[in-house]
Amino acid sequence: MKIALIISEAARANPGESRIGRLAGTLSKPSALVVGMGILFQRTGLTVPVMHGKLGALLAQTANLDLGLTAAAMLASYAGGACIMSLKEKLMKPLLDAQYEKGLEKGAADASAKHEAWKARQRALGVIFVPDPEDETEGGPERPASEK
Amino acid sequence: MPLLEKLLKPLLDAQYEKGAADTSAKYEAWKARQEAAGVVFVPDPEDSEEETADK
Repeated sequence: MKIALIISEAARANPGESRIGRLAGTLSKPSALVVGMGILFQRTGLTVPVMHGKLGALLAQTANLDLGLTAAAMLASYAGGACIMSLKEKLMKPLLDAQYEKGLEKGAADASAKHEAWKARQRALGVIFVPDPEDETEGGPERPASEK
Repeated sequence: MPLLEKLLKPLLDAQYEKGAADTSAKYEAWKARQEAAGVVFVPDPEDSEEETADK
């Protein structure tokens, strides 16, 4: 089961520095998972079924990936910062990178829309922009067709 | 995915600000080139409103 492996790996990397690490050092993997998930659910108020065994492995394979990663990340956040880094580097990096790009694109899109609105107002007030060769090479604002 | 959004919100917010700032800087450079080429911009009442709102 993926979640069990995630928690175990993160916890065993820093056995003396986290609650889950101490648990993993004294309990079997499934027990550490169940206790860890219990802590998570207790703190978050979530009611998510804990899966283990062959049926759990089958369910984990078909489970929503985001939910699985989120649960593991939340658990790691209670366990200690080192575990978060381990999760981010090994498992969450593609997801974080995608979200990073998403945020970057949205900020750029919003700023661009704001600027285009300003340009439209300037044009409506009679301003005529001059051709700018750096516009296209830098991906800057488009010139109106009449100016091309 | 509320939990995922909660975890990633600080990262997304920072990247949103970075994307907006980078794009704004690019357009400010464009404005400066326009002004250097002799274009005179007209005072835009919405500019001051947006600046006030930003603050």
